[in-house]
Amino acid sequence: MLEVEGVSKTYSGGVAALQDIALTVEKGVFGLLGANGAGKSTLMRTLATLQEPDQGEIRLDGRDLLSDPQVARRRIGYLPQDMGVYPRVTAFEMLDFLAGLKGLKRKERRRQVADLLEQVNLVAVADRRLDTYSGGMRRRFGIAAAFLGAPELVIVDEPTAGLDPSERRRFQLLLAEASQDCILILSSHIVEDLAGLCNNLALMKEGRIVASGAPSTLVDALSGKIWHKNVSFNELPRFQNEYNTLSWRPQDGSLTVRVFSEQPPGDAFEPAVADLEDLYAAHVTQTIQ
Amino acid sequence: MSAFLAEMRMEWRLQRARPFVWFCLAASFALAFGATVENGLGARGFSWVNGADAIATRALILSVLSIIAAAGIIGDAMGRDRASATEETVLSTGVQPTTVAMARFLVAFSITLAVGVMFVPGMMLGTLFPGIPEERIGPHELSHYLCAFGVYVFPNLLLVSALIFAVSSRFQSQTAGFVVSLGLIALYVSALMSLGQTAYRHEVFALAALLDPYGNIAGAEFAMGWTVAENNVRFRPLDGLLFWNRAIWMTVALGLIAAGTLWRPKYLQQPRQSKKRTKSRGGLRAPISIDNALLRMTIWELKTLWRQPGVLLLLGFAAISLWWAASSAVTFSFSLPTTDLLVHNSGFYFDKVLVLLLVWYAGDIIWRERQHHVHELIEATPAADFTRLLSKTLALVLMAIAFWALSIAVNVSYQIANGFYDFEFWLYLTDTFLVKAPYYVWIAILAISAQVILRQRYIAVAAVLFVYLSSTLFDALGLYHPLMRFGEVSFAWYSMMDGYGHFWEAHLWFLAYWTLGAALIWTVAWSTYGRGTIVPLRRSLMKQRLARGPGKWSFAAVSVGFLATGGVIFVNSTIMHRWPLFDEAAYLAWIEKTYREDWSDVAQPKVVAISGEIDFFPDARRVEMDGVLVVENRDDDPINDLLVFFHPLMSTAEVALNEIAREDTDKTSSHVQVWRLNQPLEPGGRMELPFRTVSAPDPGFAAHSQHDHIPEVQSVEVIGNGTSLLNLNLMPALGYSERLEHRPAWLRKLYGLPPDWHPPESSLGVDVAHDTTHLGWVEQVNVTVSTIEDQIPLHSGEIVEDYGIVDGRRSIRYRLHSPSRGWAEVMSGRYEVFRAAREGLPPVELFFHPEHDYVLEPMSEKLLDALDYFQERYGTAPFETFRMAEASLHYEGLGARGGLAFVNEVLGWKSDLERSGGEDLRGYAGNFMAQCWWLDQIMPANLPGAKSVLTGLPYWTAALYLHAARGPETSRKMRLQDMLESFRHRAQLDDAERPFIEEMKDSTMIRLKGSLHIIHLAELAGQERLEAALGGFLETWRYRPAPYPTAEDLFSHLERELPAEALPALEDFFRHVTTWDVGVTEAEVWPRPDGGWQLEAKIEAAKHVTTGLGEQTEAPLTSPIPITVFRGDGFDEDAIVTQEWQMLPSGASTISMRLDEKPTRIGLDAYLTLPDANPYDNVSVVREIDAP
Repeated sequence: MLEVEGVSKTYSGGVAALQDIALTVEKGVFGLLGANGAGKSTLMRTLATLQEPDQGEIRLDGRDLLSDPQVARRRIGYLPQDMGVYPRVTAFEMLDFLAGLKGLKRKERRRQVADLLEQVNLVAVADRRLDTYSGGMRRRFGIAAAFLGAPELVIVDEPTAGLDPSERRRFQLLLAEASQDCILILSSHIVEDLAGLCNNLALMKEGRIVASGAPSTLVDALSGKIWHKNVSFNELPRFQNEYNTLSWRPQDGSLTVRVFSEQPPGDAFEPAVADLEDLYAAHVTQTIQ
Repeated sequence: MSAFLAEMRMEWRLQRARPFVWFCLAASFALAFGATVENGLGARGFSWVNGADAIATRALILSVLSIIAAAGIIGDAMGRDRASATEETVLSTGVQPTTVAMARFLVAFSITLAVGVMFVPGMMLGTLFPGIPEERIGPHELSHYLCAFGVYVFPNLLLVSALIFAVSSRFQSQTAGFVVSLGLIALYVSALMSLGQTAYRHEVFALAALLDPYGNIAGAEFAMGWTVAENNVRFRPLDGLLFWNRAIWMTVALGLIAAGTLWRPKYLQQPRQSKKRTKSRGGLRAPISIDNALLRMTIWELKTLWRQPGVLLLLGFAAISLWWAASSAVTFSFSLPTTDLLVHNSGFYFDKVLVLLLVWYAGDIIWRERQHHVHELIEATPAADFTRLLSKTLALVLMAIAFWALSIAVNVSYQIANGFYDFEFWLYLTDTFLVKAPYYVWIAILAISAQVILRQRYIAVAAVLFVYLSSTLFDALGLYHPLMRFGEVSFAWYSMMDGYGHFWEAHLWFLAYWTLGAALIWTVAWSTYGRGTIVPLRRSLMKQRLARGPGKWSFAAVSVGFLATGGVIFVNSTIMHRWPLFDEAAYLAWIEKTYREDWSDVAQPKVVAISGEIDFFPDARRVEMDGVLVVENRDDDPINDLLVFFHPLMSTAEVALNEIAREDTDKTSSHVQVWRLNQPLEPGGRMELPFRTVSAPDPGFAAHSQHDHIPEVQSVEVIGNGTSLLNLNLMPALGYSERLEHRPAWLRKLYGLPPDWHPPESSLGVDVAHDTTHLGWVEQVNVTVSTIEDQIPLHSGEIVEDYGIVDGRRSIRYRLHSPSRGWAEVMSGRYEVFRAAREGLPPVELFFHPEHDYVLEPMSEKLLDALDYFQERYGTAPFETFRMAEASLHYEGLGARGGLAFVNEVLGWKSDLERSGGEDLRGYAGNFMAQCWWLDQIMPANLPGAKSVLTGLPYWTAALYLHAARGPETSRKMRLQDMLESFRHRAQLDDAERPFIEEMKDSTMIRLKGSLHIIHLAELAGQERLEAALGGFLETWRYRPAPYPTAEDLFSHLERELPAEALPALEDFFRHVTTWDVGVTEAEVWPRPDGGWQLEAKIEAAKHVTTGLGEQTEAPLTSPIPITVFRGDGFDEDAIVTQEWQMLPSGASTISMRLDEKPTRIGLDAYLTLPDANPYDNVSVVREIDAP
């Protein structure tokens, strides 16, 4: 179990990236949802012990992660948002190298690298230079790298950015499989990525956790308060002014506007089934606090 | 451990895949190879291109330049994770940062070392290059290479690598490492600057030697007294200051490595998120407005280049070395920092590195988009290929120009820092942008074009480097015409008096030629610069662009322009002008081969009178002489044949002898004529030899290559303003003279002559005047000199009549003192005149460029002081007026003949009196007077040792004058500089050093080392007595006809006149090549019970004799050495407590002295009169101790 208590982080420029974060995460996939700049990556890096928080505690199965980051990192796998690769290096070489850095002995290293390449379906291209990989292949390679050394905690930051829908689905499957025996923290600002994958999630805004819990529980709170209606493009500004507009989605040549309202808003709005995206939008637009 | 090994493996894997690493290895090899070949083909003498000194020098230079490799390799290893966005991945593995840092450093440092070590194969293979004389190649001594590695390469690279490692480890930035490593260069240059150059400040030597991070200054300490032969075989020992320097800096390096290991961050560096800061960073402005696409794209490309660490590093280098060059320029001549002087010396010490940088970044700028996978994005924009390529080219060109623009800024800053505000911006701009920068611009264009045309980055780099280094190959093949050597232009040499003068025409033609050549290459490159990589498309693209539209006309115009300017240059330089250019050394060898055997023993008449007219036409660079020589047969037999030599560059060279002789056309050339007299010239008989000579430049212009070893201005050439010629070069000379023969064995071999040269035998030489073998004492020299009306015609001697200006020409008739050596300086320039007089002395006149009036008053005072001294010691002045005139820089140095001294424009005329104290002016004055008294009044025999009389006596008596005039303290200070200078020259001699009694060539050793000897002799025998003896010698031989005096006569005379205790020193002075090594190692003083003081000093003394090509052996001390005890500071007379001359044993010994007062210092040869390579240990502080 991962426990985060009172973690705060303010950058030298005065930007408060994390403010009094508290979380408890069990085995399985935990999602971090938030807009760009909400503090997700800072929290991920802090959990990965790559940054020191100004204050707060982080424990993994009761053991403090911050007191000795080097030891903690043996238990953690991390896939950063902007994962780079060395030039002119193959996937096998890079994984073997990282496994070496993790302290794996030669035999174990070779076994794990082979298994992980198999799992992420990169065996056929393991001897290709990484800088020739497509975006999806690179992310799969990153997953393999993150799972090297059988970590107890795996942190994956924005893993699906830039992937096509089929890649994203394969990637989600891969993560779901890989997270059977560990805590996997997954951050994204793409609601779909988290919707079906996470047991629990937290919603971040301006460095704070503004909501957390099981996705269905969180969405239930909006039940009966979401309304929708088809409008023309010209009408959109008026609806934005007059209602708590959460989103508008193009549909069949017009727009479907979704609004939040405790009471039926009238104006021919119809009730809609709330989803995670409504929850995200409601928090981002400060429709709900 | 597995993490450590994994990190090392990956580091090795990544580094060996980097083209930069291979480039550094190749560049290091190429620099060593090129320098060795250049040295072998260019330098002369018997220093080995692979001797110990050459190896040390090469290792040292490369270890300094390897800073770029170290920054690139170590900096990459440390900054890579951040640059390649793998920082988080690596950190999150849990590996210890210290493990990462250490593993990477070890691998990266090993590779950097490999780059440094490439000087070994570079030098070894360089020696195999064809054309290097075999005597310049020594055996390959592995131990020397190992020493160079151990003493310089390893410590220097360790230090540089450690510094870069520490900084880039701390900041995870390659740039930070680059920038900080500049500090080492700055420190090195500061240490050098603190020492000074000509004016060496030894008091800071130890500090400078220890501060110098490269060990160069400390290493030089040992080699100071070594001859060329010793420098070939001895490596500087790791001892003394060099040892401490290495120890200190290695310790610093180890500390930095430890720090760098610990400094490697355990966490990600916090990104700066201050909005204010982000705004002010002013990043690249991406959107390109098509309206001004070229401008915006050029700015973009320039900015990206500008952010390259290598550019910043080299700019820093440039600024430092430019400042250093400016400082050296004024130090050398004690001059005010005038623009012309700074411009003349302005240059980078790393021009090869600048070329490498341009070549490297040309590849970068062309391939960057593809490398970063943005090429498709860029190629999808509507920006024209022409604009894209031009913007890249302009960016690189502007970068090259920026380096030279920096030279203006640095030089102006130097002037301001020294309180000199007379900036000549036009000269700065002209010299920078029309003379110095164009070559780098062309290289930049070639490098860009090669990348586009060859389409393979590293092949293109290699191709351009081959073109760059091909000049060495051309030198080896003897192909010197700049038309075929990329970017080479005929030399344009700026003179204050004459501007760029006649050089300008050829320079501008070559400027146009290579600019069009570069444009042509660029046009071809543009024609193939497309989008995509498919070759057939390229071909059609090229066809389309060059065959249609404006491209066709541009290509045609540039091609025609290039060929036309090339044609003009070819016609002017090889058809209208002589080609190949006149090679005097080859000509002299031809003379010896052709005439020595038949003519060396044939007596010829001597010139006894000269009359005629010399007419200057400066605008046409022409001088004519119509004259008559009266010659006399001074031999015992009749003379039937005359061998008449003219200067080979005379365009007209005629003698009018048809009435009395016939020319033997079988044995003649246009400038060497053999005349058979109809009636033999009987002994004592005289005849007239009417002649006419014209020196005028060939039509067209001369095309000089950088390494053709041919002077840009020959000794009979006239220039627009400030001409200075020797009259003998305008007249015919009679008879063969060994003076024309090459003497060093290597030079004789080079021109196919027997290697051993033998001096003339005494039976012949004693009746022949040295240097002017065809002259005796000349009874009459009467010459009218004319020039254009705004110039003044000058000639040695007295004015007989000034004809004023007639028909636009100014004429003056001159007459030399009778008898005379017959030689005279002939000058013409736009002068103003300054006159000074002192009662009882001949007046002094200074002819100077109107803008060079800085020091006329003190200069004339110094001349009058010297005149007074010489007149008092050596009799009446041999002139009625002393004249001194400014000559153009094109005529080397200074000299005085027949009361007229010529001094080129960079010497004395703008002396910085604050720094020099006027001592440089006093030095010139003393030497001019000495030359007038000795050169004009004594004619030495043409025998071994002749130069001791001809050159030695003037310098030595000048030294005696300066010793007396300056006082002990200043005299000692100046002598120290002479001492260092003479040993510096000694280490570069290109021929065997001979005892003065045998010396037949002018040398620094006679001038400077001889001046030290003479002061020692004066101190030993008394200066008045020595000067009286020298005056007696002059009196004995003044104007005396043959047989002429020899060095043996001088020696015998001094042997008779000087006291017995001075004779061993006289022997050392003349009969051996002698040096000393004396010093005080420790000195203590304690109070005596009787109230006095007891002094005890441990001293060391040794004498060495040099034979052959520089072999030094120890010899017994045969002459007393002065021991001087001082009070207080300084070396003035009142600082002397006592002085004793003692015979000392060789080696270490102890001396004791009983004194009435407590001394502060004791010196062995404290006044530095014995040639000693290490004069700094001659004086030691005395330490007071309790009575033992």
